[in-house]
Amino acid sequence: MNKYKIKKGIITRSLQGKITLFNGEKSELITLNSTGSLIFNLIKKGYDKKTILDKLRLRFKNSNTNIESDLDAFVATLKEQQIII
Amino acid sequence: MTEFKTFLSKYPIIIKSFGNSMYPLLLNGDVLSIKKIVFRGIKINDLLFLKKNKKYFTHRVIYKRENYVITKGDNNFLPDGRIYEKNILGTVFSVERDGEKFNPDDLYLIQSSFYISEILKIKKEFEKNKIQYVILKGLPLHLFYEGSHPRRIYADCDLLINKSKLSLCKRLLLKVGFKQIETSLSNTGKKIKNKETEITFVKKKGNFVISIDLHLEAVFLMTQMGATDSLYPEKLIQSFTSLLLNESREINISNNKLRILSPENLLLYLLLHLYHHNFIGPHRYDLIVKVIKKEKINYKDIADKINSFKLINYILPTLILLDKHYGTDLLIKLDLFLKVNQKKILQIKGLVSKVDLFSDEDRISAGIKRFKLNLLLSPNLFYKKYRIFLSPIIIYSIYWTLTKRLNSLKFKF
Repeated sequence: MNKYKIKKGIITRSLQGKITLFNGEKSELITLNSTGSLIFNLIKKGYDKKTILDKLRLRFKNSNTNIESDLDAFVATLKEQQIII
Repeated sequence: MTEFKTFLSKYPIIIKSFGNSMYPLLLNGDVLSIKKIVFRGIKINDLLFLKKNKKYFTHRVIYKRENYVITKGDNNFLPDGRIYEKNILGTVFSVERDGEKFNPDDLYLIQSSFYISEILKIKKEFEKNKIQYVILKGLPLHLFYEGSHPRRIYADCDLLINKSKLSLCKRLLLKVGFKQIETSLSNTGKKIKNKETEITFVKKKGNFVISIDLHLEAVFLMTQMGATDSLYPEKLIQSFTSLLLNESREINISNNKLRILSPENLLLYLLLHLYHHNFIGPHRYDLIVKVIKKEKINYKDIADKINSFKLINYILPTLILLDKHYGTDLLIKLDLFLKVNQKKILQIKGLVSKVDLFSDEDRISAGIKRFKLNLLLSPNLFYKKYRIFLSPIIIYSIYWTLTKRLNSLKFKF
């Protein structure tokens, strides 16, 4: 079971379905698009990778994209930004 | 007052800010983008572009009712009075300064992110060194009760500690990069003061100053006065402080556990905090309303504490104001258990009828008013409370205040 953890002390702001957060380490303000915000919220709720994938597949059932690789890429970016650990 | 020149007539309206009524958030010359907003969509802390009495200005919403809002410039003492739908031209969604655009909400997020990271560092050090602490108020309470950071630039975060650990706390705060700052009236005032009640530490992060007030006791009278036994029994302050420290609880904030007051003690403390601020500050009332909504409060427990700590005179004005402006019915909820006679309620109602909870005051005026309230509302007998005028720090404070006032008059003429 692959579970992600948001770094302690990350505060977010949600506006029109988009999450904005501030990465204090890099002094960067990051606004996630609506899909990124959806994934971030699922991570925040403590779901593991499999559950997140199930929920995303349900949400984007008509999409041809490879959801798992998109999720991995998104998570890798958040890890690189030290937002999730 | 911040006034504006309109460049365009269609939305988004682009305007230029003049003046300093919204300092430090908005500066003279900032270019603001304004979008349309419907009245029911307006929230507390929204920045509205307004037209009233033939003047254009952008101020913050500090209070909302069914058909009007009250707005105020962050840097103004006085609010703008009632603002109706017809006065509202839009809301600020973007600010351009020196070629860079930002949303004011981004600034609040950045400030809060800096604050929480510093609070967590302090908490880690305190826990490692087994220091008993509790957060009295500040960002963690907003995150817990509102689910988000405050939508305004705010001042500080208050921690109550066991004063026997003060030296160690100071060392730990210095270790994580804070500096102690002096908040006494003057060096003389500092020497005369017979008791330290709180110490302020600051640290610069980005363009923000993170300010942590370390409280050595649950002070709600005047921090500058030191020991105030003639106005309120010192032993009650000490036992109230122990109560607050010992009845704390853990909450989960941003993946971390922090200690705050029990719901009943928190409500009691926030009510006393309003007394400490001369019953002024709608944001303080807003937080109380949120605590009442979220928590299952044991009102009998609060009433018992109000009675046993002789706090009724300090609490009653805020209860009346809360019921009047926020419809909380707190007085009714507590009245069953409180020993208050109707005569006292009428007296206090007379006192609060003069309170404008939306107006700010300068430090000296606020201090004078607070001192008068301390005399008026002290639970001690008449002969005992007037002994306060024999206290060296009070004599010095009166001298200091008069000197400052005279100097400001000289400056005016």
